[in-house]
Amino acid sequence: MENEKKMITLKSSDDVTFEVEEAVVLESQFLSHLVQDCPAPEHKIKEVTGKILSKVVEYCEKHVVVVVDGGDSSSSSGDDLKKWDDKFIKEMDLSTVYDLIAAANYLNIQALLDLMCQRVADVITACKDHKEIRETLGIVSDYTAEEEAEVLKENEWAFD
Amino acid sequence: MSESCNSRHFSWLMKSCLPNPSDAKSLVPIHHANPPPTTVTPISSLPDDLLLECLSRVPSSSIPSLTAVCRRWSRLLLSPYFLHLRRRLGLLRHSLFAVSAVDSGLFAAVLQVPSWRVSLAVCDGGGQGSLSHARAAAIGPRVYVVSRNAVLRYDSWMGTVSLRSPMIFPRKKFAIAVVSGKIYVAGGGGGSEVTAAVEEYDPERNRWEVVTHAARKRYGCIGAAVDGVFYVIGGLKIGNESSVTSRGAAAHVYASSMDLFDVRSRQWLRSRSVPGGGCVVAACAAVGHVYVLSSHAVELSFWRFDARRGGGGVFGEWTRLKSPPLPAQVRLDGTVRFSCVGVEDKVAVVQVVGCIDDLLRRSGRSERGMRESLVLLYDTVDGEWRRAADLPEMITRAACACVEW
Repeated sequence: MENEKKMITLKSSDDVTFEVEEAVVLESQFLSHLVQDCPAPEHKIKEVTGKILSKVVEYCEKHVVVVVDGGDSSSSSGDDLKKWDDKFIKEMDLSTVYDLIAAANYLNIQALLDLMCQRVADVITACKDHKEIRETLGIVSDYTAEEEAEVLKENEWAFD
Repeated sequence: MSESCNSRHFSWLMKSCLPNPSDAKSLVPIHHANPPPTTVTPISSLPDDLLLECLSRVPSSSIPSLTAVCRRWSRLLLSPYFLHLRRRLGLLRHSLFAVSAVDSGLFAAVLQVPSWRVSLAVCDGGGQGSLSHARAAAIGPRVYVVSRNAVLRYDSWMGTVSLRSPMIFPRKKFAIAVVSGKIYVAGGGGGSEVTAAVEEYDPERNRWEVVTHAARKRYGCIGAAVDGVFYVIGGLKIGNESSVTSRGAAAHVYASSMDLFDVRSRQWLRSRSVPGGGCVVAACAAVGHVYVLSSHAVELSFWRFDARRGGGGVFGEWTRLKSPPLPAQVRLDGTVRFSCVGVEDKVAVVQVVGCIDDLLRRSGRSERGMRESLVLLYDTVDGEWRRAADLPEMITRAACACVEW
């Protein structure tokens, strides 16, 4: 009985369904409460699209701690997991990253939220100046020319 | 409003107010409409709290670029939540800053052991060289240099200096400390006027407000804050105005007591006396204690007051500590002044005015090597004093503060 895995079906806003193990769902605080409070076989998540939910499920399936029958080891070592995370984010465009941030926040998956926010921060950090940040992230400046000159004025000199 | 300004004000408040995760179903959905599959989500679609989660993770050196991106980002970086997130992520360090105003702006020196790094931040509208007797207080990365008629804000991330609202009552030789992100000043005076008013400064509204009046008008007092209590320590007790005008003669008289103001309840607690009967010359707060440097004719004593109110200690207990390694038998007079700053588990004693060698020379002694700008660090863990690099020579009559940046 203990080894029998309970399956849960998640349905995205655009009606894409995912059948996952209960352990996977427990990675999300929001979903664990939903599953506990409402023992229906299928759960519709209106706020997340199929495209994004598939990424969430992929992430959670990888990160879920699977207890092997012996009961003494987990599925992935920390290093492997980190390598997997790196690959996971590198293959993703920024638009998806933003959607995943919103989804991870909504579903309350802290580790995924951390990973995605760090990705955005790393992209910003890699830019050499504010102009490159705007270009990379597609932001239109709302500063007037005067304000921008004021913001960019060099006002500090270092003594070495 | 352009897209880059699309924001949801204070959304983090909604988030942090959720009592427990079981209420998660009541969360306001942040992903509003279901976009058609071809839609590209822009970063501006993220609400303030989530955008801050991203921005707060960049290294400090990238912060100036973030400000220049757009108004929304610039505004978010000033929010207390940005600081809170960086603190939670372990991206903030505490450093001793010494600042001194010059005609063109502000010299800021930061102690990055083993040496000081100095920069000059230029102030718009030129000179604030009149910032003599300034005292400094830091709220996160911003140092407020408060003097009689002017307040300068130095942003240690941005390297910028800007003018802020001056105190309601112009004063010098006052006590200053920060409690819960607001600055408190008490005591001091200016000209023939002495004020009992205790003022509070709100950095977000850039406004000073009188919050209470002190029973004792202390001139030349020192401020510190632990556990929501503003300590107004030492100074010359001034009972009436005539004694202020004679302060020239009385300038070296320091009281050995402190008044305690509980900021949240707006109540004054019972005043305490500093043991040993000396005169307090410097004081600061560090790890739940108030540290006090007292002068007794020809020697200094160093004390610790247990200021932890929430348990874990004996509130109000005094402990005498090892004195700072200054030459014995030095009579401190008004020509030498110290500033005390708590920096994490260290207490820095910075000689901001005067020269100990001169003192020794005046008393006919030949020891040398204690010039101006001596910096000593007391380790509250092992109880030992260590000498740090002297203040850089550009820094004169420094105002010191511990900056979290």
